[in-house]
Amino acid sequence: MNVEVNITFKGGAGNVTITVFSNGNQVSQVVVLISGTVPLTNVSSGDIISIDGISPANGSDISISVSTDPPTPSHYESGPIMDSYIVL
Amino acid sequence: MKKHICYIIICLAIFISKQNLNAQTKDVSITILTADSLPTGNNKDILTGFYNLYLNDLTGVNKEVKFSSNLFAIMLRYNKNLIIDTNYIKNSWAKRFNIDFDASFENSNKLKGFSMGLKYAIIDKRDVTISKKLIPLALGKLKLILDFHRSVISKISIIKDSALKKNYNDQAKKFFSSHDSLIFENLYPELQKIILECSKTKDGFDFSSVKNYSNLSIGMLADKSYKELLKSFQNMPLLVSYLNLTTFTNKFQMSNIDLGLDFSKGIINPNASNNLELNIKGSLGFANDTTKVNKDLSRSIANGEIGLNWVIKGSDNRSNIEFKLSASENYIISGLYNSENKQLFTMNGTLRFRISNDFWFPLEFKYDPKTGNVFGLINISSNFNWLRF
Repeated sequence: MNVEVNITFKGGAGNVTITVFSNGNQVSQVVVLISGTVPLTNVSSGDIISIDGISPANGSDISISVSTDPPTPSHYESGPIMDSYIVL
Repeated sequence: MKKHICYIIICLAIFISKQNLNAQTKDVSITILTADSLPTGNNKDILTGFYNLYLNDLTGVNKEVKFSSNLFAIMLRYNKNLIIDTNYIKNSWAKRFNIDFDASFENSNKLKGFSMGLKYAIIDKRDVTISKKLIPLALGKLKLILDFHRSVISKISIIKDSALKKNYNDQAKKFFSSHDSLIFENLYPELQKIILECSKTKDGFDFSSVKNYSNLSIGMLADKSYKELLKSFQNMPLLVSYLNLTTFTNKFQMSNIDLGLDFSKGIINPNASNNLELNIKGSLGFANDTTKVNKDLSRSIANGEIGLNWVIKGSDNRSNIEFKLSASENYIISGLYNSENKQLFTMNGTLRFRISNDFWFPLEFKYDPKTGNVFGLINISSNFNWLRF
């Protein structure tokens, strides 16, 4: 399935790496430098979307276009982000 | 005409502040450069950035309205999208501007006089929100930890049992979170094994080598490391230019105009409990010559000062006591009074105690080496947040 991840950085520049893992393998990886929507292809149920990087001064909002566990949108405070979502 | 302009400015100031106060309860907190985000009381004198209205004795004989704001904060009130990174960086020039306005009224609500000030930070390397260095430095510092996170998630993605995968992922989220942190010893034993396995990677992050690692989470370590990096920005240079205008209290004519530059830079590691800060000031002032019948700005004074500010921090790394030693030179360019020296060199000291988050108690003294005179004065410095309503 195709998945879109929307990221909004607030109060300065941020930097986030989105990685899709499927059964221990890295399926895709995208580095996000500015707010926007990132398309991810070939994502399957049970895959994990890993999100890590730096959230700017006023934090970041992240939402994934498909059902995940836990569900999105999520807000991250300023500082390091290390999070992961299972695609349902 | 001047009266009308003043009334318009005051009404605008009150309106903007009311907007701000109303919005505070509804909006998420928006961080702008604030007086208290600056590390020391000495810097608070240089550049403030809060968004504030202070009304004093409105029912009394002498009414006073004070307004202080950062230009970006005003713009943000009317365009919330400015907080989004692309707009924020594009409009970061506005964060460098501070505006102050102070008007006093007679009992009959007639404007007596006002003062206003503009500050512009020519160099502001301390504002991490617009720094181009922060993200590369943070990614460099946290690279091994971020890689480590990905390797743990990669291992969890292998788990076939969806309930088990969910449980491990839920715990991993907390273990890597700096806010809702779960320490290592509280993780499932199998997840602990995965984490230790991942930390044995060659050239990778070795969590098991961290002292007392079982009582820690990766989120806590990453957060500590990031905050140390943020503190290092407190030592960066700050150069602020300013223009202050003051009118007479009985006439809409300028009584004082001050122009100046103020520079400060930290010297010692900001994570240490003590720090030294270099402070250099230069100003040019034009004032009314009181010996003349006509009111004008014929008296002009140049002033230069160089000093070192010793900052003593508390356990929370916040500046609590500061002692500044400086040497200053006053030079009266024109309008010298009979009893005055054209040139005056003094050694100055300022001892400041932080009473509360917003409130400083400075004790100042000046020493004139020529005459041996010592002058002292007590001054109160506050951003009036404690009077906000």
